Amino acid sequence: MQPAHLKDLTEQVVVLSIERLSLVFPQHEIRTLEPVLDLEPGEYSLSVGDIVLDEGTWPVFSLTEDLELLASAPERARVCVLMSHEKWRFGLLCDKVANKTAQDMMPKRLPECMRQGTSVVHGLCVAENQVMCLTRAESMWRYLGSLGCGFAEYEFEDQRDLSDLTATMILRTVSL
Amino acid sequence: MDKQNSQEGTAAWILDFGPSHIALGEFEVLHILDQMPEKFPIPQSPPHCREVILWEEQLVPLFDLNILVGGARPKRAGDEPAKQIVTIVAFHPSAGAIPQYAALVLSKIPQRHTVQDMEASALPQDTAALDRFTQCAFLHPEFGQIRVLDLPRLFSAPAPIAHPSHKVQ
Repeated sequence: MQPAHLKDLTEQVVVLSIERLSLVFPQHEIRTLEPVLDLEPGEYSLSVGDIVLDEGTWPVFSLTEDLELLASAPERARVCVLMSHEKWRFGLLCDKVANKTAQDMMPKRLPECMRQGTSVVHGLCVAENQVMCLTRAESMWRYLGSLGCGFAEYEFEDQRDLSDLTATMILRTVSL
Repeated sequence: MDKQNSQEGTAAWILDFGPSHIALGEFEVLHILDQMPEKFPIPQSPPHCREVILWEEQLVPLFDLNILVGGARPKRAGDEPAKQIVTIVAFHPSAGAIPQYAALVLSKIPQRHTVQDMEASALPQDTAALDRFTQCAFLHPEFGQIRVLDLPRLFSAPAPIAHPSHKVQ
């Protein structure tokens, strides 16, 4: 059985490097790349800043290779990778970015003993003796939401209980 | 383990993973790497199996039994003990299935041992975390009670659900 994410390998992909971690996104999910130097102070406490473009503002988040949030941009970070969808937009800080083609990559299933619940890692692939994690922008957006990153305007299903923001947060459509 | 005959005993490998030892069948251990190869992190995977390696063009999960039984996971890459051995093991997930590979982190080079039927023992009481992955146990003259692991169960078991970290560094 092929990884569910394999169909995305029929197109160009973008590889984000964060420490030893390589995250592979379909290229069509990447809006643009911006230098870290263009980060401006951000509105959201869990972001490391905003990238402001003509069409809007992208909150940018910094992660470790374990996908833990960092409060500030580490020295290794060089590039803000901006992603957007009709309902959301966000950016990830990474150390470097590379373009690859599907032919360069050998898709692999995530070993059974490494699977647990919902993961941003949909599968693995091997290229140039490196192992990379296949993911999607929407999965990463949901993951950031689970960490409490209210990086878009949002409303709450139940205004009486705001103790668990992640459980009740509903992102409101942001027109792009 | 493949029994040869009751008098000669059964050939096995004794693996030292730090706090304790486990045993595997003679043909379950394929290869021993005396240096840690390049490891690739896989986020949101279980703490005891959070990295993979490439071995003979195979993608192999790297399994740390020490963490599974409660040992601390190194906080950062490079914080691991200076000397770690990696053993490549093979197992059949089910009868007739093609073999799959995994890697175990060890603290010493595995040793050969021949197990006699009369050495069979109760399960050691050191940790309950390995009980469901244990086929049986025997009494080793030097190391005491040693578990014989069930590799298909160990590497096919659903991992416990991990909750995302909310910690901001």
